[in-house]
Amino acid sequence: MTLKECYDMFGGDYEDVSRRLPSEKLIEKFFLKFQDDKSYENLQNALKEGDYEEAFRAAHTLKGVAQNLSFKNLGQSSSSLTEALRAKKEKPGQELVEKVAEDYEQVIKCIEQYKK
Amino acid sequence: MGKVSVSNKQRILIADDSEINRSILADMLGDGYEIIEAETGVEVISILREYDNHIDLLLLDVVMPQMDGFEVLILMNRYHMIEEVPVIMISAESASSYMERAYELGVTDYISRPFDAMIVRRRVLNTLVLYGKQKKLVRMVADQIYEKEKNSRMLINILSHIVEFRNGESGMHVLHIHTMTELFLRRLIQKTDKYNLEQQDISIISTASALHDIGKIAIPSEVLNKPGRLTEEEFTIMKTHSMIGAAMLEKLPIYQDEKLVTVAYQICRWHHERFDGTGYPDGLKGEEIPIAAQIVAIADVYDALTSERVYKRAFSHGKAMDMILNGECGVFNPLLLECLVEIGDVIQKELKISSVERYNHQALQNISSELMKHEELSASERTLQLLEHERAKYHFFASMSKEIQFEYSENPPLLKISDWGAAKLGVSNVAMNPYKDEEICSVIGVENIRNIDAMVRNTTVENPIAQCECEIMLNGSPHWYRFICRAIWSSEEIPRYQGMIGKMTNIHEEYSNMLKLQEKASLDALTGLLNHVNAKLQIIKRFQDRPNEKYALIIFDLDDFKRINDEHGHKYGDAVLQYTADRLRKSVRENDIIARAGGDEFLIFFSYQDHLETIVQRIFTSLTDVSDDRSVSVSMGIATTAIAGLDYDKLFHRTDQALYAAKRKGRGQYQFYNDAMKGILSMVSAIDSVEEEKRTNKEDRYDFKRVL
Repeated sequence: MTLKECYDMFGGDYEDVSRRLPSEKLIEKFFLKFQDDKSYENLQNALKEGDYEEAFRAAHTLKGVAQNLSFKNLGQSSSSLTEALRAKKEKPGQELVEKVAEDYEQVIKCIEQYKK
Repeated sequence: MGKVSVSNKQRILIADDSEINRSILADMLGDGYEIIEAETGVEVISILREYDNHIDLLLLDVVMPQMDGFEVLILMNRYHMIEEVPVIMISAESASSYMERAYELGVTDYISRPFDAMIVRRRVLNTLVLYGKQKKLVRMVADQIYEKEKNSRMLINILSHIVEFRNGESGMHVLHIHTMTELFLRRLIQKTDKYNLEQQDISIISTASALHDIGKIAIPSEVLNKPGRLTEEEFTIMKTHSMIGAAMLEKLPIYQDEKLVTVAYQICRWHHERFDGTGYPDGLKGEEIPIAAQIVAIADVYDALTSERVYKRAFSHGKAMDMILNGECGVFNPLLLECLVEIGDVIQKELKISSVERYNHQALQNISSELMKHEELSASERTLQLLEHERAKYHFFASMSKEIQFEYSENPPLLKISDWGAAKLGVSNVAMNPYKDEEICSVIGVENIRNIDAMVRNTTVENPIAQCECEIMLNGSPHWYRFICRAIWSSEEIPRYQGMIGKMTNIHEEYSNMLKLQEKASLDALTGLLNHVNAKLQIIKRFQDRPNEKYALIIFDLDDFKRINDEHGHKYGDAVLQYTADRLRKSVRENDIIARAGGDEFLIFFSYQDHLETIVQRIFTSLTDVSDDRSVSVSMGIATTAIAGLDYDKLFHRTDQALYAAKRKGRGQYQFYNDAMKGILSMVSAIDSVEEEKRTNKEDRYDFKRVL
């Protein structure tokens, strides 16, 4: 599977990222590195603990990383969640949280497949 | 944390809470730069401080934990870091209000996420080039200012030297006056702000001071250089020099609005006025005399006294000080006399080494401090490298040692703890304002922080080291630590506190051993009760802590203890004492103080409200209770603070007398102290009864007064 095929699978915009980052090697490096990014985990923990200030920060960071790597779907869903948390520091709508989870899992799954 | 290395590459600090974002940025920038990373706003401030703002560019994220990007910018503004370190803000926030705020806070550029490698590289490069150019310009301007300043000072000095040359003097007088004027002014602005003097005024006034005697150019040489005393008439001529000098300045066709000229005019005209109005030419009084003239007047007198002149020999520093302070040279502003006393030693030292080189050096210093105010004048590359070597060395040794080391700076308030130490304490290694940092406060404790802070601030430049022992919370349980701290004082004349460095050593084991020993020493070995000495200490402490309560003391002993010992042996006797101690423990409340006072005597100390007799009755019964087929017979004496006051020795003595009375009445009884027992002998102590009587009367009177 090529990196582009992989991007298509989880709703990423490969063209966009390859326009912004200088080489495919670099894109691949950060693409794989995304697995180790802690912001999703931080987001889940913060939501569980009801710390919505921290949840906002984590969602914001996740959004930033997703956008940098042109993960369109995850970028959009985490952006919606960020805005909801920014507006009100309280428990966000379940559907927003689930959408982020879904998009995140999708990316991770694709990374796993790509590694094979 | 920032890595320390020595390199000639430009240094870029990337602040973003996401590791992946930081490395994307770092990769985009490539190998051409030295990259430092920070994860939180606090870290950014800490790194800026650590590198003393020698960071060529800061890429700053907005949303970060602990302290966000805007807060970082606010601090950078407050501590004037923003003037030295260009900032490019990077954020996924594209709202224009965010950008606007960022620009208002002084960022150079704003890059929105997702970023484009080309754009990031371009903008970084542009900013670096721009700032590089600006710094170069600043340096060029600085050189020019220096050159200009040097020339004008030279001219002023040449002009004023002409006067001295005619005078046959060495030319040192002008330099001395300059030095002293400056010293006076520096001290004066530390003491008061009533003259509205600023740093810049110091430079202007001390420069202008060189012109104080220009009027002497018009004084005939026979008068000016006459050895010995001037006649009345000659003195009148001499006195005109101040007015002439002022007139010369007043008639200058240009520069009339220049502050230097205005100040020089004041100095020329009024540097012979005196605070009480007895000077010349105008007889101005007190603060009517401009402060510049007041200062030059006193400096002029000091230098005239300590130098040799055609009409006099030189006096010593001490003699000159005495003469001025005694008013032999006229009355001066008391505030300036205070200054003179305080800077006397410095003046003496400075004038001794005052030379043309020194003067130039001083001028250089003035200019550089002037420049520092506007723009940074960067230290030479070599100095920077040396600094970095030192830093690298320090970091290396700190990382090797298993010690909790810390460093606190006052401005901005920032606490840094060595990596090993922070891990040990379970706190992050940087904290803004320890008083407000939750982690630090919960581990060290606000009270401890306050004590250490006060302790270190109380040190002196000569003796900057202080230590104390504090109980801190380590992983949730209390531990004793020794803090050894060294204050960092600035090298100014009046040193300013700038922070501290220090280390913490675990002394928990040492300390708890000591506590155990202390406890052991305070207990009676046989019964485990307190011994008399320590019971007394505790009772006195109770008096101090809660002086308004009512207290009673009971002393009891075992009837026939001597016989028990004789008949059954000491071992048995010891067992009886232990048994009694056990019973005693069960007979009292937790807060009561019980002790073995010695031999077979025990004491009980307690506070009560009413019904003392009921309480005593209960204790007595419970001690002599026969329910468990062993029983002891005791005799008891009781006295209260209502009678003896809060005086332990007296209370003890009264109780002892009551016990004696109880014994006399027959065994197995208790007896309260009453005044009839005053003369009675005592069981334990043998104070001479006459002495005791005197003491009692005196104290009773005292108590009476206190009650009234």
